[in-house]
Parts: sequence; structure tokens; C-alpha cells
Amino acid sequence: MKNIYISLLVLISYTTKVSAQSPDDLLNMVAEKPKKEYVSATFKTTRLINFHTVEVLSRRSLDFRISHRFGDFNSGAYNAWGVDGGANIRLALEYCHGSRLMFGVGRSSGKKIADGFLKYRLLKQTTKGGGMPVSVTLFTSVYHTFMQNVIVDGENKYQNVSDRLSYCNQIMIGRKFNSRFSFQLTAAMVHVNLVEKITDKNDCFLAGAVTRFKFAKRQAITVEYGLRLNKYSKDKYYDSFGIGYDLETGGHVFQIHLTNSFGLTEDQYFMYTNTSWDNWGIRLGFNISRVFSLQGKNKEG
Amino acid sequence: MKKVVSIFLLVISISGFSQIYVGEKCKISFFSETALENIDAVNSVTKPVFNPKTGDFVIKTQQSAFVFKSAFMQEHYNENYIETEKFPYATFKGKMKETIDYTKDGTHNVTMVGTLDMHGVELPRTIAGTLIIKGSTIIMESKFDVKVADHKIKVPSLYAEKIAEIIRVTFNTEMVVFKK
Repeated sequence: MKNIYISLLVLISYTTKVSAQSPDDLLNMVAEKPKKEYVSATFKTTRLINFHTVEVLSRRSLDFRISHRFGDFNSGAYNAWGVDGGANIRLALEYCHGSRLMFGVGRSSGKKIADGFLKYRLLKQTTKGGGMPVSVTLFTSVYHTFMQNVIVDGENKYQNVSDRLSYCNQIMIGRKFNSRFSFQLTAAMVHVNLVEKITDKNDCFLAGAVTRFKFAKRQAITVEYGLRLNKYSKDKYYDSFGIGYDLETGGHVFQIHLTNSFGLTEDQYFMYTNTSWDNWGIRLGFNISRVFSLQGKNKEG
Repeated sequence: MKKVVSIFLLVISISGFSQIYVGEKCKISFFSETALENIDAVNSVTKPVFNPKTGDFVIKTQQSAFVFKSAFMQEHYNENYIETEKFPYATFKGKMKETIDYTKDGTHNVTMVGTLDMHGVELPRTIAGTLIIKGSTIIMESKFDVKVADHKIKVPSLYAEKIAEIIRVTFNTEMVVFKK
């Protein structure tokens, strides 16, 4: 009998406990540990100005890119400070099927370079508590110039196809510190099969930094700098340095910038930037990125 | 002794009533329709909680878990419109007006009176829906509208033609007794 009373009491206390719950208690009862979440949009696009960012395209996205660089500012008023001519343009199609590996092909007018690259997002930064503080992306590419063959000292300049090729490998480590500020370090290595002079070296090593400051919801200021670590030529070349402005409008991202690099491919702007900010050897440039989503129907719907 | 046993049984049945239900399957979707573009997104990771005894109903939805047709839309939703970093959840806390006999299967029209907290703006709302009792599960279904401007979600004039002023939200869940 006593036992029954005790069990009764227990039951009653249990019922009253349940019925006394406030809505917040209800929520807390079923609360689960927050799931790991990836940080999105460390940078707006896969490029900052010239440099690649840690970003890869999202799943089943096709990016059509137009990059344009005008002539030098210091070409003067007659050349409308570079706007009239000496332009370099790259058209490219880039695609990502999954969520980590993307590839792209492009053609730039400057040195008649066709390029192809693979980019793999190795690590993705997670939100607080997720355990991954940075994003890491790997990059590898090949460039082929279609410049006409010339005879140098009685010999063909481009004897074999391999003479036309150069390569670039990069490791990028980036972090989105908050919704406004992102920073990335890049280690890069460029290899050129055929150099101009016998005293030139084929390899160039670089340390780069790119950063973004978003000052409004759809607008940002960007800066990139590539420090060359070894001496590879007796000719005068400069570190690539650019300052830009990003404007996002729906599926488009416009990037307008000033940079001393004329080249649009890694081998060119990392290694062969031959004008300097010191004497206004800079130019106006813009990138337009239009992303098409090929995903079709909402996969959850 | 008989009396004690019957009280005992009564208490058990009451305690059965005060069980808490949690939505194991839950789908929240919204739809924006304009002449230029239709936008829809689905969230299927939310777990609403319901106490049939008191009528208390709570739902806390993670904004970043809405999946859109395009990753771009999803990024814009979180970054530019709903501002997920500042307001990671949308919450509705309400109480059901009607009292229902949960021991019988059936379909009931119900109304929830409560507050909808979204994008940092709390609004009193009365939301109508259907409650279906089917054995040990409770199914809830509802469709309601959310006015974008009411929750101070800014849409720049440039995109105003692509994003509807009123967003239709569809909600349905299958709730079962919550076990720890």
C-alpha cells in the first residue's frame, strides 16, 4: 500500500512538472548540439583582382568571366591615359560540379595565352565551435601561348609545343574574420619552360596577400599584393599590386580596379609585371563575373 | 484498494496527456512570386515542440538551413536580406486557442496566438492551421503570409521587381511523443 502511494506521488509530481513548462523550457528540452556550419562568401568571387581567392564556385555553377585591362596611365592624354589602347582581355568559362573541385579555361589577348586550371577547396572554414579556423584551397594551372614563331639566332623560338608552356601552383589559406573583413595568404610557384634570356631562371616563388573590406552590403574594397621571393631575371620586373572595388548586383559581380599588372594569367602577372606604381605605370581594369546556376529544380523541393 | 488502482490509472492517463510532442518530420518552405522571378526555399531540419496539455507551441528555425535553388540566392538571403549573422533564427511562440480531445483520431481547424520573431522584429500573430490526430502522431499544417516590410527586411529598389512584398510560408510537421 505504501508503495502505491509513493508511486502515485512520483507520478503526480512528474505530471505537474511537465505541465509547468514554459515555451522556452519546451525548446530547451529538444535542443540539440549546433551542427557544424561552413562559413560562406569569404570573398565574393573566385578572383580578387588578378589573384585567385580561396573561393570555388558553388555546386553546379557556370561562371562566365570577362577581365579587361586598359593601357598604362602614364601613356598620357593623347592615349586617354590608357583607355584608348593597349588593352588585354581574358574571356573564360569556369565550372564547378560538386562543391570543392572547379576547373576553368580561358583565353587572353595579351600574349595570346590559352589557360586551363584546376582548383580544389581542401578545407572549409567553419563557424564558431566547428573547429576549422581557415579555408585552404589548392590551385594548379597550365598556360600555352599562341604567339607566332620567330627565328632567333637562326633557330626557331618555339621548337616544340613544350616551349610554349608555363605552369603555376598555389596554396591559399584564407579566413573570414567577420562579415566585413577577410584576409588570405598565398604561396605560389610559377614555372616557365622557355625564358627570354640565358641568364633568366625558369622558376619564380611568391608570397601573396589578398584582403577584402566590405563597407556596405553589396560593396567592398579589395587589395592584393604579390611579393616575389627570388631573383629570376636581370630585367626590371615589379611586384604585382592592385586596389579594387567590388559591386555585387544579383548574379553579377563587377570588379573595378587599379593595378600595375598588364597580364591576366598567373605566369604573367606574378612574374612579368613590368610597370610600376611609382611612375603611374598602372592601369584601370575591370572583371565581370556572371554565374549561371545549372542546378535546375530545388533539390529539397 | 480498487479505488487506489483507479486513481493510479487516472494519473497515468493524465501523465499520458501531458506528454510533449516534437516534430520529427518538419518542412517549412517559402515562396516569393513576381513576374520576373520565382524564389523558393525549403528548411527541413527544424523541430517544433508542442505541449497538448497547455497548448504551448514553439518553433525555432535556423535561417542558414533554408536551401534555395541557387547557391547565389541562398548567399544573398543570408548575407543581404535576413542578415543571418545578426539574426540566426526565426522563432514563433504561441498558444493554441482550441481544446481538443487527443484520444480520438480526427481533423481540427485550430488557431495559434503568439509572436513571430524574425530579423529582430517581434510581431503578434494569429496563425490558422489544421491539426490532425492520427494514432500517436499529431500532424500540423499551415499556410500564412509574411510581409517583408513588416520585419524591416530591406529590399533595394533595384531588386524590388524580383522579390515579392508578401512571402507565402508553408508549414507542415508530423509530431511524435518526445523521448529523452
